[in-house]
Order: sequence, then structure tokens, then C-alpha cells
Amino acid sequence: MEKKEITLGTLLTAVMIIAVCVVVMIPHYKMAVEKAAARSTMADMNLWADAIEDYTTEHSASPSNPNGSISYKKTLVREVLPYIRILRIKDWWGNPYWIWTEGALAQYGLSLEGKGDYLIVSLGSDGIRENWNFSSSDPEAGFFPVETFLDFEKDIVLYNQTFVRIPERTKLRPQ
Amino acid sequence: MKAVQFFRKKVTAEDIFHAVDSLLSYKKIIFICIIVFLALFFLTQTLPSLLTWDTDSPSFYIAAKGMRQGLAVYDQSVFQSLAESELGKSVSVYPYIYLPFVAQCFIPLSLLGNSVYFTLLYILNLVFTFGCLFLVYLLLKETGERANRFLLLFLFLLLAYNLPLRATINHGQVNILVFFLILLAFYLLKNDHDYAGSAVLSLAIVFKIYPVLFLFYFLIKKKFRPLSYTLLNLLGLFTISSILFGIRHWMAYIRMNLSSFNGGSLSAFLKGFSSHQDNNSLKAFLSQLFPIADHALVIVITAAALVLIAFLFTFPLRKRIMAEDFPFIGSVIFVLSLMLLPISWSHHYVIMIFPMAYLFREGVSQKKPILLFLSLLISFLVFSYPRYGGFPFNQIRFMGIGLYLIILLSISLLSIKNWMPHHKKGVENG
Repeated sequence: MEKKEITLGTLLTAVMIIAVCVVVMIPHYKMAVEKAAARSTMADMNLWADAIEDYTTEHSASPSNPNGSISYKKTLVREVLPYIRILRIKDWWGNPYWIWTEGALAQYGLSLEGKGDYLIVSLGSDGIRENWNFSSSDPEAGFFPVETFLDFEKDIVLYNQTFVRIPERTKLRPQ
Repeated sequence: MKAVQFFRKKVTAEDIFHAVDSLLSYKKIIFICIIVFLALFFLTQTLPSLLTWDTDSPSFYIAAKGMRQGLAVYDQSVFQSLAESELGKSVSVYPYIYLPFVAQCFIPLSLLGNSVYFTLLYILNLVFTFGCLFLVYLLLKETGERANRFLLLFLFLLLAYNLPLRATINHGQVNILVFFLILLAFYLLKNDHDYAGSAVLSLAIVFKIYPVLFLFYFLIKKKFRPLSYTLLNLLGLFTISSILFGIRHWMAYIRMNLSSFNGGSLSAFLKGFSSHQDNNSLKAFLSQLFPIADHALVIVITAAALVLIAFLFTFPLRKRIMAEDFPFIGSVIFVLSLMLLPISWSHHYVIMIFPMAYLFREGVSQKKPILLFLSLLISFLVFSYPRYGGFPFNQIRFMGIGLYLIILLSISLLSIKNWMPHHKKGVENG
């Protein structure tokens, strides 16, 4: 069998081109990963919203979660369990979701006193609550452009089936 | 002019192998130093595990305590109240979802108290890690110093920054022990110790269920004696466990697992974990790929995908599989077990050390640098890629083993004609 040969120069050039490509690609790759995390998180929040809506329709009452925190032991999780197809209690950055339901104190300037009100929140990549409040005069003021990695630290907020704080290009409900 | 001549010099794959080997074998002490450095690097990374109690290790500890006291450890409320009384409320303990035999085996260790128990488990995991590397080396080594030097270096490279290994040690899990038992079983079987090998394999099966897939190896190779020995040993272990601790634990375990087939009656814990972002199994991959599909559809698609894989590996490759021994079939079974399990966490992926080492060895013995490159690439994806990001990036580990299976299938199909004479002749190295 004939031996395949290449010159040392070709080999080194190929290695250098691959190395440059990798270095250039890394930031783009990281941004794609963060965007995927945000997209997947929003899809999960929609699943939670659908489950809460289904539960409320069937029981004529909201599931109960006055303090917002979520874990496997919580009554809310047990209540919506039959209605949720895919159960994830943590967002795609590894931080737990926060879910307030009817009767809880107002959060982010959003009232939860109405019948069937609920609020689902992901604290973003940093897992720290953002100091942001909803403005009823400009409901889209919460939409933010994604320019740097810091933008993924902002919270994602879903209020009664509508995202009120969300990356700008994803205003529509992702599926 | 000399520089121009240097860059115009023709190089072959053999030249590259020779250059790397010359570096490794220049002085024996240099090679030893590299190996020791990699081992120490790994050890320093695992040291923080001594100071923290992760969620799995206390789970085994509490289950062992509960078994000794005759409590229903599969009842989550009983289990959690025992955990709180033993370790306090600050330690988070996952429900016990493993076979009763594991907790029963941990009873002697649990008698030593929690601090000694956690430290001993850490040390045992380290010992078994190096034991696994040694057994992988023994099972894959060939005639020829150079091939074995490359294999040894690759194994220690896998050790150096291995997230699944670190996760196993940090969680205090039993995956390394089970991996060790499987390798030991096949090492014993290779050396014609049929009974001892079967006994060790049956022990691995009662620790984690997936080694039961290795019984297919006996079926494929028509080795009915070790197969019957293993089944008898399993029956024996089950009988001993039932006599000593009662059959009710086994019944509770079966009931808990049967409920997994009915999505509605699943516990929040099991349902949450089967669709968790970090679950890298075929079922979890499909449920993330088709998020609108319901539980039953995902199970059907998973079953169809597995039938397809089984078809590819049985019909087109039947002759090859019949002619092959443990390294090839074992690698396929290790990969399939990760795909087949409904939950495949990062720490389950420690078993990929064997398939990766097999692919690397094939690259060295066939003198194909592309195989070496691919084995290094997949090793990076499987062992070193951080657990992070949204779909599909969180599934890189799973896609890595998918790629591995495709490569193994491809090289098997390509080499089907010349494989048998190639292997009969033996491969000369160095």
C-alpha cells in the first residue's frame, strides 16, 4: 500500500489555521450557548404557565405558592405534577425558578391579587434578582437587547401567559 | 535554504508516531514523571470532595442505616425523617432510588459513623479509580512496547481532567466500583476463571442494573457456562438479601420503578430527574429535541432508536461481532447502557474510559492518526466539556457517545473484509 505523505510546512499551516479558527469561534460559541440557555428557559416557563392554567381551569382555584420558592417538596409542584409534561425546577443556568401564585405579595410591580394570577421568574445566568419593575404605561419597556454576556444576567419574567421581561428578539412565546 | 528544506520535508503517519514516541521514550524517567504528574493533578482536584458532603453519599449512608433498623427506605417520608435525625436539616439528602443490595452492603461502613464513612468512601473511590485504569490497561494492552506506552499515557490523560470521575468521587457514588467490577469480571473470564468472573459480574449487576447488558456478550459469543453461573449467582445474592433483610425492600424497589412507566403517578423527584437538563440519556435527549412530545411518545421513539442501533450492530456486523472479543463488544455495550438508561448523569459516563481507550488503541495499532484525533476529540466532549448551557449544548456529552458509536460502526463496516486476517496475524508495534 502506498504511504500517504504531506510536507511538514503543510501540516504546520493546517494546524495554525485550525488554531486561529478555534480562537475566533470561541466567543461566538459561548454566545450561542447562552442564547440557547435563555431560549430553553423560556420554553420551560411556558410549560409551567400551561400547567398552572390547566390546574386552575380544572380546580377553579390556583395552586398555592405564596413565597415563590420552588423545590420537589413544594405543594405547588405536587399539585401541577399531573399537568406538566416536562418538570424542571431549575432554569438552564442551574438556578431554581421562582413562581408566585394568586394571593402572593406583588413582585416586580406586578399585582397577584386577581383570580388566577401567577408570575414565573428565572433569575438569569447570575441567579441574583434584578432591581426592575413593570411599567403598565409601557408594557414593552421590559424587553432588552442582547449585546454582551452581562445581558443574560437580567431576569426573565412571565406574568399570566405574557413575557414582560425578556430578550428583545424573542418577544413571541418560544415553543 | 535549510529552513525551506525543513518545511518541504515529507512526513507520514509513521513519522508522527515515531516523533511522539521518541519524546516519550527518550528517558524512562521523563515518561514516569509525566504519568506521576497527571495522577497528582487528578488527586489534587478530588481533594475538596473530602470536605463536602454531596447529596448521593448521605443517601447511601441513610439507606444503610434504615436497612439496619428495618425501616422502609423507599418510603420518602420515612427516609427523609431518618436523614434529618441522623444528619440534621442542613444536609440535603436525595431519596434512595437504588437496589436494596447497595444499602445492605454499606451497612458495615455506616456503623463507623458518618465522618469515617465519607472519608473511607472517598479513599475507596480513589483506589478503584486506579484499579480501573490498571484493568483497562491489562484488557487492552498489546504486544509491542510503543503501543502500550501510548495507551498508558492516554489513560492518564483521561484521568487528568475528567469531570465524570470528579463528580463520582464528589458525590460518593458507586459508579467507579461497578466499573471496576465489570472490568475485573471480564479480566477473570479472559483468563478462564469462569466462576470467579461470573460471581464478580453478578455483584456488579446487583449494585447497578445496567451490567445486566453484559449478559448479551455471553449470548453473542455463545458462552453459556458463565451465563448460567451469573444467573445462579444473582439468584443466590437475591436469596441471601431476602433472608437477611426481607423481600419487602425488593418489592418496594420494583413498585417504585414500575411507576416510572406511568408519567402521571411518578414522584416529583423522579419526573424532575428524568427530564433534567443534565440528564444525558437518549430519552432525555429526545424529550428535549421534541419538547411537545408526551411521555409515551418519547418512550416509543427511544425504543425505535434502540431497535435501529441493535439492528445495525447485529445484522451488518454479525460476522465481525462473532469474531471479536470483549474490547469491541464491551465498548458497544458500555455506550448503549448510557443511552438506554432513563437517567444518565455526568458521573455515569466514567465507564466511557474503556471505549475511549479501545478506540485510541485501534488508532495506534492501525497507525491511523485520524482515529487518535477522533478519540481525543470525543474524550474531550465526554470527559472535559463543562455541564453548561441550553439545548443542544447541554447534550454535548450524549452527542459525543453518539459520534463514538457512529465511528465504531464506520470503522467496523470499512474493515469488515480485512479485519479478520489483520487480527489473526496480530499487530506488530514498536
